[in-house]
Amino acid sequence: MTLPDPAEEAIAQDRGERKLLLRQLAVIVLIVALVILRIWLV
Amino acid sequence: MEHVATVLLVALVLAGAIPLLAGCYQFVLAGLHALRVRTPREACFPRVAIMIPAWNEAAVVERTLERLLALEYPADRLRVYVVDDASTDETPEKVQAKAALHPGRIFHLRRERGGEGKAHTINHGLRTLHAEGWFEAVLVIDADVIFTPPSLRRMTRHLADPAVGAVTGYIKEGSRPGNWMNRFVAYEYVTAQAAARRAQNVLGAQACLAGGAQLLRRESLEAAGGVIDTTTLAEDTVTTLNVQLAGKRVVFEPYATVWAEEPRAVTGLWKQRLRWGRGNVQVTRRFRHIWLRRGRAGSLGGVGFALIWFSVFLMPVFMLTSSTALIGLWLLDEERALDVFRALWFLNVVTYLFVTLSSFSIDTETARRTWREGLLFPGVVSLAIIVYAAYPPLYDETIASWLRDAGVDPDDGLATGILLFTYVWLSASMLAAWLVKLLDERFGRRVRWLIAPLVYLVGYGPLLCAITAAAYVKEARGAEMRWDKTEKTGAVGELV
Repeated sequence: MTLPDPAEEAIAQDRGERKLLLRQLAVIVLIVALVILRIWLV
Repeated sequence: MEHVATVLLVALVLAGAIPLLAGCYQFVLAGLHALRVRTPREACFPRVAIMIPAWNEAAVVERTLERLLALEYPADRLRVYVVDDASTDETPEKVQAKAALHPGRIFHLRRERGGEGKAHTINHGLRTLHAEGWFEAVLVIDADVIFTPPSLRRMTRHLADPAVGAVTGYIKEGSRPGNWMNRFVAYEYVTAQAAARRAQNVLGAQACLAGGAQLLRRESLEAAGGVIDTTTLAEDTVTTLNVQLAGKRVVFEPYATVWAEEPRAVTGLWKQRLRWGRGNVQVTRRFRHIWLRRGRAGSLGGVGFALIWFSVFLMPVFMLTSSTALIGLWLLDEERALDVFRALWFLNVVTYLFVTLSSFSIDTETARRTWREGLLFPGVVSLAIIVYAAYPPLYDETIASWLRDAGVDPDDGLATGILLFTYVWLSASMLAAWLVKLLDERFGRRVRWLIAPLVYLVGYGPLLCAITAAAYVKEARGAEMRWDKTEKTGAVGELV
């Protein structure tokens, strides 16, 4: 049974978590923009 | 006097914002997982005994065993014990046949007198394990779950750190073919597991090891008494809290994917979640000495953990309080009631967008399958209120003008009626969800076509709230504690 290198796998997973954080930051920016738009419109 | 009453009522209405703020807090923490938690770089392969409590699991047990034997884990460090709780179907024969094919790897333990529930069954197996003394960690799983090949080794690597006492994986809904209910559960698990448990990793306090994937270090199990609690309906939560109170950490491993089959109908979901809800009431009472006492309970006693725990546990109370106070406020001061209602629901808009879009971004595979259920999680009615709160002129101008064109005067009682309906909907939605459950229970076969549209209308979120409220009632009445097993058909598989 050949297993992937645990360190490489862990580094890839941490990279995945950072991507997740970036996506969440994008969500926050989008919501802030929508809130500003709403305040401007109403 | 009236001023005091108004202030008090406004405060009570805004209590409805607590679960919303807690939801946002949880998702912010989930994002911080990337900065606060580092995946271990070293592999770790302790001797693991996998424990499967099984009662009449003939439909699923063979496939589960085959998948466990295919785990990426050294064969000489892995044993599987099926604890057969006096099954009356073909479970014993099937397990014995597998054990004969894989001697020394699969073991069949039989309880001749069963029916006492999962915790008693696990304890029967644990007594054998303690007597043998071979295991360094035990993985308690359900008979129907499918562990993906790398899942166990990704969990065990955390045990290289002696401060970690237990690890859990990411349970994903895997019914195949899945129906509308399975998709709701799949989306719910993104929020309640992938996001909430990441948040709890950041807080350093886990609420619960997922029942289908509980990896316990032997020393931690022994420190927590060596056996599983049998006095509540939430034995997994009790174990989780006890391990942490004994000074060890409990960790969620988001990349250890475990597929599970979940209920396909409202009645099945109600039965399963009522058991969980009652278990949570029992645990909240039993561990009352730890809430908000950081000195005594570490991170478990922190404000953040209490906010997460009680915002879920007391959700029906917040909903009822908020809408009742809103009606009271409307009787005192209509204008102010409308302002407070708009403020509360505007916060709801922001929370809905943040939670839904974040959930989609956390697990994009599940999002592709369940985006409709994600969007309709609060229900069509609540979504309509959310849209109104997001942009009031939509009703105040556009729809009102359409109504006037159609010869209906929106100011002639209609607007007030709609407004009052929206004020009480937070509570009424739970009642509506309970009625849907009654309909499914009493006339399920005849009206099955109607149940799904009703759940989409009322909302899956309110359905969960209604179950929590039902759990309070059952516990208050001191109802009998029965282990109602969720029916499994074996229709589960890896979806990605």
